[in-house]
Amino acid sequence: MNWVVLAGSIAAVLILAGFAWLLKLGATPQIESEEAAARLARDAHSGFRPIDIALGRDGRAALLLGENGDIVLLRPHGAQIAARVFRAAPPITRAGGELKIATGERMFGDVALQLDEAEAARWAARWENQGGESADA
Amino acid sequence: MPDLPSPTQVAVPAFVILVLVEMLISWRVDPSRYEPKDTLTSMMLGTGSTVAGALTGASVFALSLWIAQYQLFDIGFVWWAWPLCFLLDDLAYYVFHRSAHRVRWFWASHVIHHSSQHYNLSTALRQTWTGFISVSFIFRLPLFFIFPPEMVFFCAGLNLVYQFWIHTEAIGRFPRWIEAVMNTPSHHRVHHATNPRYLDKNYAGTFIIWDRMFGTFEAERDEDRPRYGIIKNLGSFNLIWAAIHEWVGIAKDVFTVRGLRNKLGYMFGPPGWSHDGSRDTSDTIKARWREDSQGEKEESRQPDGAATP
Ligand SMILES: [Zn+2]
Ligand SMILES: [Zn+2]
Repeated sequence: MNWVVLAGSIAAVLILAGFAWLLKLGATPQIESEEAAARLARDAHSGFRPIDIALGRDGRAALLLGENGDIVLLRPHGAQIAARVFRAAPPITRAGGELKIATGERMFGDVALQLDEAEAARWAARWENQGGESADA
Repeated sequence: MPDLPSPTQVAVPAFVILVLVEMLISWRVDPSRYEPKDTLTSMMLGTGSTVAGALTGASVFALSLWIAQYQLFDIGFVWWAWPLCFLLDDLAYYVFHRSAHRVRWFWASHVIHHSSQHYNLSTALRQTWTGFISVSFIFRLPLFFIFPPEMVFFCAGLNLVYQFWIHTEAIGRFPRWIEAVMNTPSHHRVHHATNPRYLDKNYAGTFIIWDRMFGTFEAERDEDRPRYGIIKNLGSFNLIWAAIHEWVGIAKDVFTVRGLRNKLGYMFGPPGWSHDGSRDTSDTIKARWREDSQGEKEESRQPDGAATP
């Protein structure tokens, strides 16, 4: 390993990634429906049975509450969907129709869910019954 | 002693060309198979891995020379030693790889290779930076009692080169006699999948025979399409985080939990092990999945039992 080889490798890497970008490879993941959200949540958490689903209006993220109190959060990651499973309700904050779910993970980040205002209020109320923290912002 | 090139270095131009070809195929067939940021992360992890390998390679080679003083036979570079060495190195790889998925200390380094939610040739280049810390070289050490170190390292390099081309969705399945013996794209897709059925299966390097012999083989099924990545996907393209996240996890767990047994469990237990059972291991996931598919079969015989919010 010398510096020339290293510089050459990095150049090749940048060219290849640039080529992927020029070809417009990738995709914008969409959660098409509540059924799709349920399927994705089940894929991430085997045996998960949702009893309530909050699907963002833009189809970009979803929050699902399961039969056993488990909670699954879905959000896009590049061309894919990344999920988080919670055994206890994560803290949420509501501002109008937006629910912000704190994952507690800096690298995963918090997730904002755009809902209708009434729906967001219903979820915030539900959260308090669920024993989770919820705050209006 | 023959002057042996490094198989991986020789293969780099072929890697680049094949990635380009696969990108063009994806562009025509399914653009979502690639994602520029994911590709960049994978290939930078590969580059970083060669740097890490260069930094630690000398000490591993010195160790191999030291063991070679105690060689049991004087085989040297006789022709038939090459295929034998390749075969035994492939077995050592199987043992390494199986441990890498079953012991968190080894997993912390190997997880890097599995941390993409994509499965394409660039994923093959997503290689570890921390193999030395996880002492993954110990699995190969027994070979130095038999074969010259140069031969072992050459075979190991060939094995790594072989494993490159199987990281693709562009190839379906080969004729049955090939799938029976060789590790193929189909078998390795199963290995990279998080579907409960596929977890902890197909550890093979070049020959799939080891999985068939030791009961870890699972065939790919059309009705259960592989979903790639890890149980808790990163959700981040950060290079450094991909390289060290599981080590950070181990450190946090070991410092927070009380009791030596628990601390050891977080280091050397299976990935996902927790002292209070609050996390999932591949075994708990498989168990829940089996129970659930059983329940589902029963439920489908009854009228609608769907719960309302
Ligand atoms: Zn693996
Ligand atoms: Zn692989």
